[in-house]
Amino acid sequence: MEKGDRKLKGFYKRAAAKLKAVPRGVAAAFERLFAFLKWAPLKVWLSIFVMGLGQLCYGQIIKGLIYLVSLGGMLWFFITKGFDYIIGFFTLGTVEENTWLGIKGDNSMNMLILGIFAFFILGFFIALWITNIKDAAYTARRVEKGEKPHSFKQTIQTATDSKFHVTALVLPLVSVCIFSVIPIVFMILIAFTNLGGDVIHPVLADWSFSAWQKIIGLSKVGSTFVKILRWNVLWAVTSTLLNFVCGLGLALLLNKRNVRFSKFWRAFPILAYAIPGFISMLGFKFMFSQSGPINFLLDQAGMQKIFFLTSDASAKWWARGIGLFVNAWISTPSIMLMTTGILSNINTDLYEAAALDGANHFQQFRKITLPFVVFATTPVLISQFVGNFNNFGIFFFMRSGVYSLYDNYFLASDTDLLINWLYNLSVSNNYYSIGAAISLIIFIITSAVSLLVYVNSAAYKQEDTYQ
Amino acid sequence: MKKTIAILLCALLIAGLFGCGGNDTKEPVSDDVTVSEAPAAESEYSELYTQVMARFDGQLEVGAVLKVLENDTAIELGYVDQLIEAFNAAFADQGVSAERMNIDQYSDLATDGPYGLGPDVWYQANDILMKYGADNHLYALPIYDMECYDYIPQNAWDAYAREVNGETFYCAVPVNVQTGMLYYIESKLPENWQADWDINQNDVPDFFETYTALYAYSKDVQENGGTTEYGYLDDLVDTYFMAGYLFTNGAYVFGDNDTNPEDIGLNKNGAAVGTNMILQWSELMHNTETLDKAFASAAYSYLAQGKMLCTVTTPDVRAMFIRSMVNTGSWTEEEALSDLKMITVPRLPVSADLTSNAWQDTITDMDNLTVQSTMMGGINGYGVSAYTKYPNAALAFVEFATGYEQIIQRYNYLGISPARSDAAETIGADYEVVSVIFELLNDGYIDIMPAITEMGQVWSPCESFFIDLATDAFREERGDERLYDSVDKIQAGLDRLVQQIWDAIFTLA
Repeated sequence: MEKGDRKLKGFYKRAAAKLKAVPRGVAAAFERLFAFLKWAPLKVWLSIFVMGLGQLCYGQIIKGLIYLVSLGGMLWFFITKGFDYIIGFFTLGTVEENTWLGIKGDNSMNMLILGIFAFFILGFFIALWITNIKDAAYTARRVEKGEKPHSFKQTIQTATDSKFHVTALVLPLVSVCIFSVIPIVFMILIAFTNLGGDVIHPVLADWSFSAWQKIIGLSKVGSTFVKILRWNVLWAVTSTLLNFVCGLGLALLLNKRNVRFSKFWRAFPILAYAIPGFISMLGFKFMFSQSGPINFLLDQAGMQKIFFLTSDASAKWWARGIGLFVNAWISTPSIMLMTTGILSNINTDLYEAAALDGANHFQQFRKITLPFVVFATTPVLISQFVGNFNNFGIFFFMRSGVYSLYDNYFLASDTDLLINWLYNLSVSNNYYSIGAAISLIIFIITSAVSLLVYVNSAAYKQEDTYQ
Repeated sequence: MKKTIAILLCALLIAGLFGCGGNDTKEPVSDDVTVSEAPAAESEYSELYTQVMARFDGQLEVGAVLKVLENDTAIELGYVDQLIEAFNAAFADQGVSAERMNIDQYSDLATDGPYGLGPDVWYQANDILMKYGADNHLYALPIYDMECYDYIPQNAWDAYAREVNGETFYCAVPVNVQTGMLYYIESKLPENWQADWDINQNDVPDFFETYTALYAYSKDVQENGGTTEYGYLDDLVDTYFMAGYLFTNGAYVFGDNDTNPEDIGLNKNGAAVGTNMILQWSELMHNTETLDKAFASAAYSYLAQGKMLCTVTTPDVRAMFIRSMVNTGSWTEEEALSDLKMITVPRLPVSADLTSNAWQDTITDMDNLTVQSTMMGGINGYGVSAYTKYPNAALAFVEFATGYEQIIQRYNYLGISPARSDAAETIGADYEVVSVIFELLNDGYIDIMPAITEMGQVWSPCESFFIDLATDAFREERGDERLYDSVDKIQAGLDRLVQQIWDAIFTLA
């Protein structure tokens, strides 16, 4: 307890020190900026006002023209479309479309995403402007020292040599922004609009906190959220653990020297891995349905058929258990493959030394194998945890369209994960803003848990030891 | 301007008539088909109507290639290819053609349409089409000027009606009526049915005339054996078919003629006693397969294999039953077509209890002890996307596809029940049940699915409730407490169902 208290106090102290440093850092940055502006010669000021002009004045014609053309392109974009997109981002549309009367109106979702895109272009433009100023300042300093400005050929050489990391990462960065960051930002911002229900195209949306008010304020929604969250966490932890244990167990079993034809036995889990997951899920859904083979065999054996996947209250733990089993069926082979590779890297001398010291097989597993495997697979296990937390497919394919009538679930069943409930709300029922708000909450939970586990894991703390 | 539009529409009508060909037996709507009062003259069209219909000027867009989205059964059985070929041949000289769109090319008209990715013409059920029609994703159509207008009853048109500023517009053209029909195989009837199960000697098995008699027959078969394992067997959880037990006893989906979502009537009037009959079936059938909608896809082979004597499903899957019968090897296609029968569902008991009357009494005193069943139904039809670049060509396709000849073809391929009275009369001459379905529609015994978007919130809660209800027949033997062993408890269950639907519609809206 005392150790924990000390740790916590230390954390708060460090956080407070960092917060105190912020205003000092900001002040220092402004001081540096004023000093730079005071020093900047005329040609650098030209670049500050017109991108590329300073470079032209220094005789860097090609570079200057490239910057000028970029400036022209940006201005053309913002004058023709960009400013409208930015205004549209704030208004989310002013004219409601009416296809019957031929009135071409606004689409709030389009305006939102185009507005985000325009802001990203603006950010890219600002970054380009800053590089233009930095480049002009660099050239100015060279000239002050009596050196010649870089020619275009030298600029290219620098870009492919000492600055190659920048050159190589620009395109991937742009791609990540377009294909990952913009959709994420779009989703986050949807949570702060009233999109959904009756407010879908052609009706215009507005900025609003109504989604958050409904989640926090409505008892039905709140109580369903808590019930689903409890199950979701239990599911994520249990399924990750089960997959890991099964995968590791299979890998250990097949790794043993006295197992014959181990390569042949390894092929079977690979088959389960190779078959698309949703086919396996649909197959199991049929298998456990009322008219499926499992119930048929039970009936033939004179036993009662079981409600495995119906909405009956008795099906709750059957359905959950089947979900865990199916998820293990699909995920175990990949864990098995991964741990097989890790196991082959363990130094066998450690086992010999342990055997000499009198350790039995279980002790060797607990003290050597398990820590080594856990250390190597911690990042993967964390990603598996996040993946299982958001495992949409399992219960969607096996139990879609089922609502649990008992226990006051709101548009959900007792096996739904938050992501399934999110789907019911947003896609099935068009409550987009509430769905986005819930996905933000899911993100906060999964990222917090992931960070906490990773930072406290051996993989993070004791990296040097194992290296 | 208005005169020009009228002349062009008339020309289109004439062109359509030439294209469809003639059938001398075709007659205008019979006296007892109710149609609405169409504006008598173009001067009666309001300004709003004129504005909305302005794009339909009769000028076909030369070079138009229409994307037509149809249902899977129609594609699988070859009707759509026939329709497309016939349309392309008829309009070849006008530079307009159509092509089939695959269902995997499409996900949502509202999101796909503005980017030109959705269909131009779409065949679907009324509740789905109107989900888009309500938000202007489908065009309102100039139905008063269409050839088929006079042949389709008003309650079919109402499935696609939408009120805008006090005026009614129609977002699609009805093609066929979907409702629950009873299928059976004649050769599987018990040998003694004429002696033991036709006390009114009308050459119709009594167990197909009233549900009480069907219940009694099913019980007899399950206890004593017969030509099949079960009499009537069906899934008891499909809202579309089970809603009939509630509707016949006064329940409804939404009030004000299915337009007011604040008035949900699934627990009103005699809904609870009607629902109790579903539980009675579950207790009799005592088969857990009836708790799963997946039963519907197995029903074709089950009927062919003699698992049950009869089952209830929609007319458009008749061909699937035929195929299953042929696949058993016991029928050729011609034999299967002759042996498979489709009739209207039996009458329900006034007492709403399948066991309260002797089945014989329900036959001899049918009018007093039974009532015509009201089933949930749908009207499938053709809509035109509001994002189509070719509205006139799309309208021409809709008129072609809903013409008399094509409707007859659709029947030939798929066994549908047409919404057009002339086609229903022609088909009904050989296949009486089609006329009967038309009459049921006309007389209000088919409760068309509500066309408002809130209908989308009804299906899942209802299915979950029916699963819970039907499962109750198995709870006691498993040592669990029964939840619906009295009408009061069923009523409480229905009240919870309605509350859940209300919550789904209004809580987050």
